[in-house]
Amino acid sequence: MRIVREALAGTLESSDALVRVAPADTFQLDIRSAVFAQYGDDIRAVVEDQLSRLGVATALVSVEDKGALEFVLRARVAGAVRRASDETPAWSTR
Amino acid sequence: MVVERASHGVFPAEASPGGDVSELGLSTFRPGADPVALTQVTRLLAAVGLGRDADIELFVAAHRGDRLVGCLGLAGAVVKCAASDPGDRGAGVAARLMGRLTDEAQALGRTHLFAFTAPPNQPILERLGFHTLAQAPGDAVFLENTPFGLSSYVEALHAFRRPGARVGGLLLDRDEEDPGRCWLVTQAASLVDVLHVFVQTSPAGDDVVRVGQVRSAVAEVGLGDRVVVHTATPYAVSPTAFPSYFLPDAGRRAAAAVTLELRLFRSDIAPALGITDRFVAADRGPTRPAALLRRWLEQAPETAPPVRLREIDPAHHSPREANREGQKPDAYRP
Repeated sequence: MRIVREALAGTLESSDALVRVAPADTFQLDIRSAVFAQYGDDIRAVVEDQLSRLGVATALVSVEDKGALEFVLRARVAGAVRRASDETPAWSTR
Repeated sequence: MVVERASHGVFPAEASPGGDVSELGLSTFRPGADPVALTQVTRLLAAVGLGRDADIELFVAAHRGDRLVGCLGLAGAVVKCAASDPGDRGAGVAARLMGRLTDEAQALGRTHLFAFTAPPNQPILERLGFHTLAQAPGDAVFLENTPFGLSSYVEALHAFRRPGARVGGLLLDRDEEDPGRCWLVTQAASLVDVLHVFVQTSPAGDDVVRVGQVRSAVAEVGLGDRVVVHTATPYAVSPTAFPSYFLPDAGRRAAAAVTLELRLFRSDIAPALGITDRFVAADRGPTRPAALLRRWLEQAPETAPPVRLREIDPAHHSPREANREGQKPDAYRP
């Protein structure tokens, strides 16, 4: 999916994450998390995998993690990407 | 106790150090439309030693029962006038308020938000998704709600680099009159090979018009090839856009705004464009003393190279003469 506008999904509350997606010619991912030391690499892997499943190759993505579980993180990434794109994702195949 | 909680809904109430276990309720209101809510918010701000800025378009308020426990305001793209009840802190009120405000701003098409705050509140805003841009020591911190805002802006600036041994930078205040503006630009341009002109953003929303006016004025005096007029940017912090609620002293406020602008200019904007000289009008008023400008441009230890401060004294030239000089730009080469 092509990112055409800046969009957000999620909250800053405990056990959630705030994901921000903005259009760009490059791919950059910024993660902030209180548990970054233990889980930073896992969070990065989940976000990158979800973005590639959604077909997002270039974007500026920032994740403000408040201890979100994996499925929450995936949902927030998908939500932000959907709001930032004009395409309709094929949810059934994901 | 359990019965009382159940009466408020199926979810257990958040624990609060204040002892009030009512559920947290959020509401949004426009200051002009709800005088009762505005009075409550003003009282809460005053209770924690803060004022209420007049330019706030909307407030998000948090209540427990009838009691206001937190508020947060939005003016343009600036988040301000944040307060929470001292007895209710640490109960997630700030995160709920910021979440709601972010949603409201997104609905208005504003995703890129900024904040100015007192240094003790910097960690709170950083926990709420903000990233620090610059600090005026002891007085203020300037933040934005994305890690990519400034870096994307600086990256885009590289396309406007022009070759030259001396490259100038000039910031036009939004209250500058047209003839004075044009005169400053021609004077500054005559002293360097290339001049980058920045225009401060205005809450009036006429940035595009004002940038267009400066661009046509520059083209009229034949400086189009040596003067780059940039689109208005929030990174050129304007003293008039700087909030007043946490720094009541007007002098310190103006100095803080200037400090934030100069530090960003030197550390990020000037290096991206190769700017060597920063021009200021000598009659810039008491809020921008030369010592303050020199400190942040030339003296303060930064990783970025110093930028030379150049003062232009309007007393020595009338605007009419300046326009004539501007037509033969080589006359003033150093």
